[in-house]
Amino acid sequence: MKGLSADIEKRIVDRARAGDRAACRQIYDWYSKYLTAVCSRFIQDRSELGDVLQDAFVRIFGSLGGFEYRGEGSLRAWARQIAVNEALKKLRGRKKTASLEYMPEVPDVTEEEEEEENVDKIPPEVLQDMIKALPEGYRTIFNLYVLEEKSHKEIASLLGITESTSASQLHRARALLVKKIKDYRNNKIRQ
Amino acid sequence: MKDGMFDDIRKKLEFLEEEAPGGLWEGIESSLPPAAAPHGRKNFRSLRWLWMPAAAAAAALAVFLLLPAREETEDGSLLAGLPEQVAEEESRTEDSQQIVWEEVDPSEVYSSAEAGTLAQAVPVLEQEPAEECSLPVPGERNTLSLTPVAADGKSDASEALAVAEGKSDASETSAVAEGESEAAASAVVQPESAVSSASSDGKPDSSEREDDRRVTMEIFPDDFPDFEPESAGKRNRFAALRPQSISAGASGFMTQSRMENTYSPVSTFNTLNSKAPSGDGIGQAVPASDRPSGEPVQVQSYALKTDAKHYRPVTFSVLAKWQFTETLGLESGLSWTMLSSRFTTSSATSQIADQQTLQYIGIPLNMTFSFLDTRLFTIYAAMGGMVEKCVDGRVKHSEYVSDKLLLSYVDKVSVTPLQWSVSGGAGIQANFSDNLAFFAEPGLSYHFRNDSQVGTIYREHPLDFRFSFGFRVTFNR
Repeated sequence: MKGLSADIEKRIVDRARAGDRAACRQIYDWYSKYLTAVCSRFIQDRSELGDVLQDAFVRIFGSLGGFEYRGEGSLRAWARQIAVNEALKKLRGRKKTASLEYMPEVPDVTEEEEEEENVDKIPPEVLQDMIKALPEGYRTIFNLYVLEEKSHKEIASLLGITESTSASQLHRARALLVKKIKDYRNNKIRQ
Repeated sequence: MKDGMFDDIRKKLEFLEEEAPGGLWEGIESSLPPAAAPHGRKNFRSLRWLWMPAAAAAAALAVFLLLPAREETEDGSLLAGLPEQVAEEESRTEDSQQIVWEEVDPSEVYSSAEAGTLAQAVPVLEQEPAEECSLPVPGERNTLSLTPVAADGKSDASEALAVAEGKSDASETSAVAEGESEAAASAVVQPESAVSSASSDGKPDSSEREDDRRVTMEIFPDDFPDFEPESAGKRNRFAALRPQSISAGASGFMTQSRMENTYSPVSTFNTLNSKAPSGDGIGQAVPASDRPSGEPVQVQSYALKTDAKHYRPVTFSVLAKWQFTETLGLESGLSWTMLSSRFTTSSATSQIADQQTLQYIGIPLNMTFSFLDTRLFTIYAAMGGMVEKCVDGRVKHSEYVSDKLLLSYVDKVSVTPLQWSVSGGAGIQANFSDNLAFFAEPGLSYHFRNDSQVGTIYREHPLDFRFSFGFRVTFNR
């Protein structure tokens, strides 16, 4: 998908906007795997993930009339935003638990675990699995803050929590991730 | 607080992809509204409806031009039986100006006693009407009386042709006379006065001329333009519009063009952070050893190549020719022209191709001049112009990425402005028979630029060499 002429992408968007099914299929082929990776960081259950992606693409195709193409990458960013919103909608639809506020099973962060870890030699798929392994609350905030580049204020608004909760949950998520990275590196060394 | 680890994680996962759940597209497709018609067809109105009136117009024109002239009757008279017809028409309409010619006993009107005189009708209209002349009264019967003219061409005063009302009362008659002699003035349609006048000039006795010189003059109204029946006038005008020949042929132009351009957009990068674009770009950064540090370097990226190919136009036409003189004629009719072009834009990995087809209907108008016209060959020159209107335009759009067809649809192209052109050439015609010939006509044509932005060979090569050939059917050769 990288390097695709913006011209072609724009033409396909115009065709899809007009209801051309072939153009819609083309957009699906371009971005289905990408959006699957984005949404799988929020939704673990495979069937739920399928529902979220289906709703996301239906919303994408239905909202093309309001989309303004602004060059290569604009469609991907816009589609990603819709997919994340659908994932959050699914999460908000679940029964609320207290896990976002408090996770007693998670130990407090130590100073060692506040260190930064170099992730250059960790494959992206492994990092993805590490993020998926985080508890749902931590994972959601981590995804919104790190990957979607939302502020704590925006996260608080999206999830209905306070900014301090968002910050503390992110801190805890980071600590867990650092631990996982260390464990992965140690396992690698042993291998 | 900026977190380097977070930034690294973000960059690593930015373009990560995972396999989508099975059956995802089917689920999406079932949730979408019914598919729209393939692009280009939903809003694209078939222009076939335009062909029907155009074909009907062409057929009507062909029928009009090919209708044979009205044949004469067996007796050679187109107006056989006219007097009876005229009488009927006269009684039908008040506006009828028909004149009924009655048989008049020559003995009543002869003014010359010499034998051998001939009765010669003198058109009334060639004479200045007398002041007392009255126009024929519509609806009333009028009579024409004749006076003979001497063989030497001279006639006495009574040779005048009088038009009088067909009334028995002499006082009500009027006369149109040649000359102003009293004899002419007396040569009115009064049998008694005519006889007396004739007798006074020493003309043969009327009784002697009664049997031999009874002349029944039938004046065909065609000899008197003013008295032409209305229907006959129409027939003459109709015959004048009929062309002398019909030709059908094809033309082709000699030039097809192709233009290639390469467009290479240039990006400027700072040397310190210089890095060639990733992906399938073809850019290559200038090696650092070849340039001083600190200066910006320009990197070519994503060079685009455009290719425009215009195929030779093809024209079919049906023309009718009207011959003014033996050498000079006028030709007009209908023509159909097709223009085809192919436009391609390609980069290293992608390509966009547009196949454009335009159809024009035109009305040519040419003057022809025959230099040589023999039984076997005719050599002529023709020059004129044509106006064309684009009646159908389509473009088939195809998009390829890595040689794989991504998208293909047909769209409509609209060319609003008229296309004007002038042309000239010389032709040679081989006459198979008096009516059928084959012609070949090489020449030049020039297409004027119009406001249309659609690329055609007319815009790229307005002056072109053309070659026409076909068959010509000639009437009344």
